[in-house]
Amino acid sequence: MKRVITGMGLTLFTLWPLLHRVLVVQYEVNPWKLCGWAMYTSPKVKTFGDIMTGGPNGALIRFQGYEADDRDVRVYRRNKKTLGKLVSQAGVAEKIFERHEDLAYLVFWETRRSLNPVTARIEWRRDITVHKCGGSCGESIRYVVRTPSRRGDADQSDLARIRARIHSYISADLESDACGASGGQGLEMPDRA
Amino acid sequence: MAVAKKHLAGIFELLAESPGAELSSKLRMFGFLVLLHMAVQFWEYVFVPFTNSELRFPPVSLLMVTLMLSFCTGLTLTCHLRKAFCLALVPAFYLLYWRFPWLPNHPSLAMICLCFLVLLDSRDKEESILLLQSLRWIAIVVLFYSGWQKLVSGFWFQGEFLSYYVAHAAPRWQNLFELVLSREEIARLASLELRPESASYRSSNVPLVLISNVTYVFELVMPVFLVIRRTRGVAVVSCLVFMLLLQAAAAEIMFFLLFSKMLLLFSSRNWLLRLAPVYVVIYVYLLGAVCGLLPAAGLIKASGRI
Repeated sequence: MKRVITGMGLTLFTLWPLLHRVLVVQYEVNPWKLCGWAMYTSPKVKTFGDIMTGGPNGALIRFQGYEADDRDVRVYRRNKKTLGKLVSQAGVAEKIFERHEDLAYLVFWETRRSLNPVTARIEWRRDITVHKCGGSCGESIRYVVRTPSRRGDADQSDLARIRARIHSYISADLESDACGASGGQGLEMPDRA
Repeated sequence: MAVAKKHLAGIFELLAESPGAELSSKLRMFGFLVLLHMAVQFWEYVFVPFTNSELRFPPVSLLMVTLMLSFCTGLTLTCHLRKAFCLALVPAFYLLYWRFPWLPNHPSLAMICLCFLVLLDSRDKEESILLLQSLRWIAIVVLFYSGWQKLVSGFWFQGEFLSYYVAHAAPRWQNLFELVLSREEIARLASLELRPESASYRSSNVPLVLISNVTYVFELVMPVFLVIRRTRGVAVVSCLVFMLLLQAAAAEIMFFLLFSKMLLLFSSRNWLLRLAPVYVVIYVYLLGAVCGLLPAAGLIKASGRI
């Protein structure tokens, strides 16, 4: 019996790094963690993030939640650093919506800085996901930041594109309110990730 | 399937010690040193807590499991060897539970070794053979995949990873690579910003590219020499020297301390018993340093925060 358990354990131990590699490539799992023996194989990836919501006059402002929200977001970010895309963003958004009935939408703003193995150059990638209250899934915008100014900020043309995308996604009534109040200028984006 | 099974059985046969060899004292010493390693690590968490609130252990429970682990370490030297290993699983799983999914490889490796020490009785003749084979196989897998992961990552063919570390990691990387890189090249790398428009990290420096490629080739090839009995002695010494250089550069002395024990398991002589006093002195010194009793800031830094 012990021989069988030992054999199974060693087989799992031997095959796990192969699966780990798949998870790293497909789901951006941290190669430095989870027993894939891939420490010092690639430079550490740096991620920045913020959560935004609608403020006065349709501007996007940083979401200020309760202590429980902060804890959930912290746990989400910690898990995201290790498990990458395997961590559900919608789960955190849902928890926040449950606590804040007045919230219409949340914008998850995440910037990822890494070394591209093909070009061997630094790459900044931004993922912006809009979650609507009661919505089943978020609208995602992904793009490569070409000229980050500070901590990977987008340039103006990128910002305009994002504004338009978020605008088209958020519900019509909200959109009309926001645009009306801000004089048709659309949503103001924060100046840093 | 049957052929693969036959080949694996053959490799496992090679990993066994020559018949009649006394294994229990070697494995007992290995178990003791692994628990000592874990205990020192836990004491470091007690005296130098993580600054990140998400990683910081609750102080009281951490102190309790650390004391338990220290007790288990002492217990391995008595007749209650099995109980010590079983009891030590509690702090090990506490670490796993508290940190999940943020699981660094080194403490996980110690925990995997511990699981096998719990499963197989090192005092039993048959089980001790299987235990030694298993622990040797684990070392081989770790070494092989360290190289394989470098190979598939694509950052080691033209020194991309090393260039990046010279450019952006701690100054010791620059000091270290002063031996192979010119001052101008180091200055150029150090001036690179973490921005897309910065230059490529691909290096044309021959010694750097050579070091980069030799590293993963060594890790891929050495497991074969560790399996073959005739080359095992040389392979153990080579791996120890290689690991010491690599881990000193990466400031991961703790990993070296753990992995060197696994490599010493390949030796037919009981080097673990002979070198146990050296290990104990290093661990006690580290412990004194993390408590603030001994001056060894550099050593703590080099030990790797894991």
